[in-house]
Amino acid sequence: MRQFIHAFLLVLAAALPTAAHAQAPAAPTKKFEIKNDRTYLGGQEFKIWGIRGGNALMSPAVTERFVRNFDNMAAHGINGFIVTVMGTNTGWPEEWAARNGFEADGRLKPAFAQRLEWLIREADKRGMVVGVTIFTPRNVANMQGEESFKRALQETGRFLKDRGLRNVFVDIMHEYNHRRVVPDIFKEPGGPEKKARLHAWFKEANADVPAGVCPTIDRGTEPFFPGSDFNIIQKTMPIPAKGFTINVESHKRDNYDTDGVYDEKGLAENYSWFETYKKTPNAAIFLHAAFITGVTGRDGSAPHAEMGGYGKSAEDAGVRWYYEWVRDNVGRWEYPKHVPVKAKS
Amino acid sequence: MKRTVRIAATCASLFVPLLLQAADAPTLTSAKELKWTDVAEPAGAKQAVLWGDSKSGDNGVVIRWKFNSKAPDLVRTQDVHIVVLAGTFTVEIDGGYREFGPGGFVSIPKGVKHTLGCEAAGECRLVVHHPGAVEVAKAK
Repeated sequence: MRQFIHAFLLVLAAALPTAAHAQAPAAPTKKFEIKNDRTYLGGQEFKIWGIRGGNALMSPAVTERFVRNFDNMAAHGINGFIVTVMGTNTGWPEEWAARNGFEADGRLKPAFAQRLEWLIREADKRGMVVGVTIFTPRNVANMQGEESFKRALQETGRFLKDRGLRNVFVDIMHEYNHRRVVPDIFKEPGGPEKKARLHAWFKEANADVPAGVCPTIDRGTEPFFPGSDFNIIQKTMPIPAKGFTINVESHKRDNYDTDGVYDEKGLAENYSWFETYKKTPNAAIFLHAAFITGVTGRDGSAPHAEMGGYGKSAEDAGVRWYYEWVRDNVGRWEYPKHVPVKAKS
Repeated sequence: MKRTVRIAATCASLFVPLLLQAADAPTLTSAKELKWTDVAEPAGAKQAVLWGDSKSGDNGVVIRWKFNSKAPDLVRTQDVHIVVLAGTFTVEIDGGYREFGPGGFVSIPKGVKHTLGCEAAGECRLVVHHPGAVEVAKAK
């Protein structure tokens, strides 16, 4: 009898790690699509105005802060949000502190998967799209080679598919060919073939989710490759003439040790980029700010899910200027469209 | 093991001077009480002396470098030991490149050419110790 109980417990323990994938079926979210160089959510054409929250999955409390701010984002017209399963640059005082949502062998950690699903579903309730970044330059060095990358891609793809999480797109590798990248599959030369291989691995697990690979600016690698579903760019890379392009990371103009503080030049550059993307129907942009992405930061409270102040000084740190620009120049977000608001008096 | 011994030796050399001072009077300095002075290079750098004098003997300073700072091709007449407090500190020696975050430790023997830097993430704060008088110059 004792042996039987022991064996039963062993079988139970072996089954537990797969529990994250074996949850009860869930209602599918609205489907995100890119067709004819335009974006659609739930079959409705729409324009994305996004925010990049690279470390939003790092802990339950941080994810909760972002989720609790989705209503305010939507009220200001922001209808897109990017998270990173592998975590990203945590900025200052420690830039290598990102929490990795994958085990070294590529298994998706159940706790990260749960937070990812929660965030995606809460975004869906507001008619928002979520960009899911899989790999980032620093933490890929802590993985166990190509088999682990394939497993990470396919576990994430299957998780999104099995859980009906469809209001998403995927950036397979953020900053391909970054100088920090160690594994060969994320580096030139041979980038187009390697990117196509990564893309095919993901698509084997989930054919419906649009996926691409973000190049590192000025590193001799392209925003498209054979089979890519759309172009991904970052910072000030030019928008390719053909296809739909998502700039997943605007050029941040605050710094990690003075996060949320901007000079006039930095703000003017941002407004200029927003105008460019506003008049470009086949492109979308996600705001990147040290204020939103960094961990700890100058005042110890980053990453900031909140919009904060106008960024004029340390006492006014924030990205409220972006929220209000989108609200005043595009409109508040009421799925499936932006609703213009009266100009500020 | 060799590294452990080196770290232990460094820690000892960092704190022995303080202990010796302690025989006379304790040194209790909060971060806000540090006296910062400008340093010529790299641009915008500041330092605060913790103990000693770099011209006459064992000395320690806290250094602040602005992000994107670089001090290329240096050589020293004394070993240097560095502990990173904040930021991403970079070290290049013989074509090799490493980044060090808070808690990172660097020890460079005298005479070895090295390039030091502070990455883009934010200001670097470092404790720098020379176990004797030192001159720092550009390598020829």
